[in-house]
Amino acid sequence: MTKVDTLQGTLDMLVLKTLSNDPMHGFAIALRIRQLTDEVIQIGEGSLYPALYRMELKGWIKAEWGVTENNRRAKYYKLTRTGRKQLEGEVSSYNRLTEAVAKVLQTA
Amino acid sequence: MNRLLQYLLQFLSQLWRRLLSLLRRGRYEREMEEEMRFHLEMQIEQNLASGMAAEEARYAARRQFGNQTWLKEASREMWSLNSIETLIQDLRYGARTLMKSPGFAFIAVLTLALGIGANIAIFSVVNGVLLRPLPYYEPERLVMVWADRPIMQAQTGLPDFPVTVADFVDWRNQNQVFEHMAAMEGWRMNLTDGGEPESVVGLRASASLFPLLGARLAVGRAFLPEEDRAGADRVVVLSHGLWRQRYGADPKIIGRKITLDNEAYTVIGVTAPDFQFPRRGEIPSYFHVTTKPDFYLPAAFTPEQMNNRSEGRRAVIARLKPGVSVGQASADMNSIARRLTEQYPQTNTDKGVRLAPLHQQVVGKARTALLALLFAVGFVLLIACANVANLLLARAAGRQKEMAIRAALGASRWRVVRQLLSESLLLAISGGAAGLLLAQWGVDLLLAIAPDNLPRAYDIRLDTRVAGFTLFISLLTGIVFGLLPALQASKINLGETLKEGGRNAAGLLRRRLRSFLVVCEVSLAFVLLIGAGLLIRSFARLTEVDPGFDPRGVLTMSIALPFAKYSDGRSVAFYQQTLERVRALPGVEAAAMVYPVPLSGSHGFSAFRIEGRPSTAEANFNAGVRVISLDFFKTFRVPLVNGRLIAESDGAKAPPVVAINESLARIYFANENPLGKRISVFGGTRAIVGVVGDVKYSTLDEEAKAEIYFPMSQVPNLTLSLPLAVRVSGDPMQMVAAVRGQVRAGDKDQPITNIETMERLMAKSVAPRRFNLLLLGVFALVGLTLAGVGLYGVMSYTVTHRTREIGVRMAMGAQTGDVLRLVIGEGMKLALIGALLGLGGALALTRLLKTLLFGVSATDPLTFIVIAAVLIIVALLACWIPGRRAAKVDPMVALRIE
Repeated sequence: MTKVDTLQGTLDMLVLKTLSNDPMHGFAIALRIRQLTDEVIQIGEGSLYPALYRMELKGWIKAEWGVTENNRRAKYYKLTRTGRKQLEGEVSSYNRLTEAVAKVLQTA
Repeated sequence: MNRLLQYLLQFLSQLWRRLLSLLRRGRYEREMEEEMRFHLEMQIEQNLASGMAAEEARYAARRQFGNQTWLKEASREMWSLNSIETLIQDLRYGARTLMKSPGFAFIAVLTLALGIGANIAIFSVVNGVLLRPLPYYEPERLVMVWADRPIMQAQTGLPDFPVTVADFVDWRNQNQVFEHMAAMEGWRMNLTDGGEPESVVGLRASASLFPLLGARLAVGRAFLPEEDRAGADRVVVLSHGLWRQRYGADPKIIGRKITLDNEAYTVIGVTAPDFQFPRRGEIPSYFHVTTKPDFYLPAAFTPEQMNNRSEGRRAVIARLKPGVSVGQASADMNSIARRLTEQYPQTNTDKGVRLAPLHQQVVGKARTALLALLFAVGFVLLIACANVANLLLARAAGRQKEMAIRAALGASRWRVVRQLLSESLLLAISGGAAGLLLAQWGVDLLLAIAPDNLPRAYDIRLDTRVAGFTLFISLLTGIVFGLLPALQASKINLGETLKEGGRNAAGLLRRRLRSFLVVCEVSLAFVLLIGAGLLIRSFARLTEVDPGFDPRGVLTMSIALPFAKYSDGRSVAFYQQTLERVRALPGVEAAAMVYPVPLSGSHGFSAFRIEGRPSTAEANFNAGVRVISLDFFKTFRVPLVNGRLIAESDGAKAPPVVAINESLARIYFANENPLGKRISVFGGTRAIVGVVGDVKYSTLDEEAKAEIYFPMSQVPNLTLSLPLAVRVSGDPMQMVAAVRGQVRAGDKDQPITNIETMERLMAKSVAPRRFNLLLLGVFALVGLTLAGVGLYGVMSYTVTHRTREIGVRMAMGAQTGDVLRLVIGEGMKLALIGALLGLGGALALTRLLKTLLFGVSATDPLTFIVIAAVLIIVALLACWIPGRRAAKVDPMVALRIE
């Protein structure tokens, strides 16, 4: 159960990636990430919503009020084109970083 | 670069969204609430689904959800404009707090309004005079071109030496640095067509004048170069005012012929309504160029004027070519001057060229005085700030609990300081707004009492730069007086303050700060007072100066005879007849013609030679020229020192004679008796028959110069308009109508102008100094009062604070005298430290005032001693009142205070 408060950038990347297919509301995003990582990464509300608002301000995601399957009102977030580009950028730099770190770890 | 652009765009769009969110605040809040609620519900559902009981599900969800308030805060920060919101918050809270203590707020705002208002008023003046560009096209390229003649200027006292016609023509033809050059002189004519004859004053100027100034005419055109020649110059441009007033703005004015000095001139143009040239100060007054010319004529030099190299006294204005500096132009012109000196050694030795940028020409000496006033009023504001800061410090004592609670709730020190500063800014801005209102009246008042020669007085008004200054100074003031108390108040030691009885380190710091502020106030006030004191002494010295005549009861006026009507000596006859008629009036003790009128700032002069002395270039002496009728010395009560006065026997056919003044005798006839010696001047030799006392003709603070008095009947071709002076036994102004009647009796069309009494002329000549003195005096008094109040406030607070200690002392045997001495001693200690600091400051700063002083040194001991005494007395008073209160303390009551 690691808290992902440390790397803000990583959190952003994860959220963007989660939204890359369908729009989701905040709770669903956190749930999906928990499910995908087998409860390793649990994003608390204290990190999630500020991050969502921040990314909305930056124009990476767009918010729209919609209706859930249970006919409840919820705010759905969608990836924008800028956001998609941002996501690509962040993914590639993350991959580069992990490759580099892996090389170092392999040696010693 | 692209990256940078990206970031910039992102920043801007973020900023935009944040701004928008300010407006949609309510909606955003609601949406956030709803989103949080939804999330909570979903979490509860999930908990229920995984098997928890209902209550447990809710608790677990809530716990996991964490601190909602904090979450909301964090989220809010993401989309709101934090800084502006907190600022608005602070301001609203500050306003509420201030309204709870209206007394304090009122005093603070009032003090600030006075301080800031005075600064705005003075800045308006500085702005109008020093900062605003002159209203011409590219005014920085305009320069006045004067002849630089050190020896002659020393003799005549003329700061700006006129240029001869021949020199002007050569300079214009040979220079490479000016786009245009124009020579000007004042010209008076009588306008006699259609309607009342009017004496009009205008400007004769080269045809290039209007292009030089970049001025457009309202109607018609300006002069052509061809018209700038003798014979072709019967064309005239009218001023807009004259066109409207006398010709009813006749649209068909162009081509119309008007009669000036009995000759016909064709009107070719009318100036624009806002065109004004020259404006006051651009051309020195001794050129007799009026500031609102009614008409403009071409200069039209005659061949004689151009060939005679000593002929002509013109003021020359020029426009630099773009990109040419004044230094470069000066070098070029002086090389031309040197060439001319070689070519014409008789007339052009000791002749250089001096350029004066037009702005400098206009502003001249006023700069020092204005800057001094700006500093002085700045000092007053600083003193006011110190007082308000003291008030805030005093108030801070009562707000310690509030500060402690803020700190306990998590406010950072910076946050508290920010909040207190916004209170101060609120006070400062209110003070600034009120000050702006006061400044409106202040500026009007200033302009009403300002001396006539305040340059560019017409350019002084409250404009956008002044408004900007107001805002700036208000904010600055707020920070200056608010920062110290804010820093002090935010230094919170939670443990101490929340206890009862707060006798603590913070209080001690506050007292020290307040004492420090009072010391600063006193020192600033001291400097101001010294400045005012020095100016007072200068002014007193100036009024003690003997003008050389008795100004009481003398009326003067100008009678401008048209040249055409009164040539060939007829003017002398007219004047003499007028004098006889005026002398016959009851109440008239004496009457005379005199040119120029003393203290009118005139500088008429001429070269002369002394017979029997070898004629070298240096032997060409210069003296002031005074044309007088008989009885001049009697009218003005100028004493005779040697020989005899001009008498009736010195008529037109008698041997030509002159009288000289003591200075001339002293300078040129140091070891001999001047009587009987002959001097050649005005194209003839004349004998000196008398020596009279010196009279000040220009200003009181200048040395008397050599003067030669000519009887008017012996001046060939007297074409001057001679002023008339009348000594009356009663109030001079009462006699104006009678005198005018006697003038008209000789010529019913003859107007008289410039009616003034000598006493008023004397007052006018010292008016600039009086003005500076008045302002600085007011500032010094205000500063002293504020400092005194500040000292009183601090001592009063000290007494209240130390009531218990005083009670103890009295219980132990101290008498009222001892207590009084204690309090006064402490207060005077502060005052004396302040005075010493102020002394140092004054000694350093007053030397900057040197040009404003007269007859007093910048470190005049008497002034310093007197001011120190005044300061001590005021300080004593400020300490005595709280001291008495302290002495009346009842020990029993005092000891019971907790």
